[in-house]
Amino acid sequence: MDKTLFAAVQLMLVFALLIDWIFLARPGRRAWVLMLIGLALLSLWAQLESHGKIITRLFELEQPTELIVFGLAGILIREFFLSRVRHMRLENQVADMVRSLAIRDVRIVPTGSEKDPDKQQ
Amino acid sequence: MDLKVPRLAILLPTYNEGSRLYSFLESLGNFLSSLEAGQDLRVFAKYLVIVDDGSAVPVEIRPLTTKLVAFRSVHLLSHAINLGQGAALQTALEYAKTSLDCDYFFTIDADGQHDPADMTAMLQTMMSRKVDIVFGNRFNREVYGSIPYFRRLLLKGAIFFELFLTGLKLSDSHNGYRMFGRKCANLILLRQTRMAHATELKQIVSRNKLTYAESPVHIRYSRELMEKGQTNLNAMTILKDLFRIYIFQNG
Repeated sequence: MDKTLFAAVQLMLVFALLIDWIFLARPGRRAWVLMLIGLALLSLWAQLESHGKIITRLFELEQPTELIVFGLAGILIREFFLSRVRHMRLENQVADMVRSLAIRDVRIVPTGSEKDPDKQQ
Repeated sequence: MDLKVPRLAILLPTYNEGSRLYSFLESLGNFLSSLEAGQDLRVFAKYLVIVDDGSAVPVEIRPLTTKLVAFRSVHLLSHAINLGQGAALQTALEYAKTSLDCDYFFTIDADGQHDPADMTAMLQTMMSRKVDIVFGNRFNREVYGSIPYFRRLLLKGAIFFELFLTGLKLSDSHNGYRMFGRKCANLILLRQTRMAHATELKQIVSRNKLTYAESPVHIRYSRELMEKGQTNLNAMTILKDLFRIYIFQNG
């Protein structure tokens, strides 16, 4: 495979991973639009020879160690963000349960002003 | 159920406020009782919805009932555990909408930093400008100088960040003093359980293209309040929460 093309595909995968975090956190139009624009820009960039060389140099992951480190770092970062999302969801589930209990058990204190305010005036 | 009198609920989340809450309730009751005939706020059927967000010493309002006669009734809901101001506000709102069928809603902080008298101006702003929500704005000439310098800087930073997040051009940030109508209330579903709910609310306003305005309010910055939780460190936590919103809820 052409090195420039290979580098471009790698970059796209990285970008897709980023979008995955956002997408899992909350799917939305903005994430999709960003992904499409990002992919288009990356493809365009990879087409330009000078930039293509830079990409090739940066993401030429020929050594297996580099590949493993790169992959592990990606997984760790992704897990960190996902754990935050899970935490937020759990927090909301607890809040919903506590809320429904609170609404079921309300203490109503009459204050003696149940008259129509129009008549009070 | 009467149909002609509009219903107004004051939503009051509280957590470990102790005597500050009772002082505030007293001043709120005194203010509403002192309203004269013809004042806009007087015509509403008023309800007070207090949400005790898991305070160590549970809130007890019975001794204050004589001070709260301006309300038709006072409703006390208790969270079994502390969830945060955003969650408590959501509880109060859900209850006021579904059980009390209110048309208008005020949100006020229970620690006494807000002046109940500002409700009149907020209501006038809402009625005259016919907007869906009115945000309190502490950055008016009268009180600007009383805001601690570092707090002022942090708030300005938060305003800028919120402008970036929501696109709403507001002069104040994280001010819990607000008023909104039923249309806005029906759209509010706060998922940020803690302080960042204030930004989330603005995102809801922005996303649903609701109309909004600002009304000047007075904030009391006492040493006691600053020590209690209005510290600059607390403000930094809000900024952290805002960043969290940006990462997770901007999709």
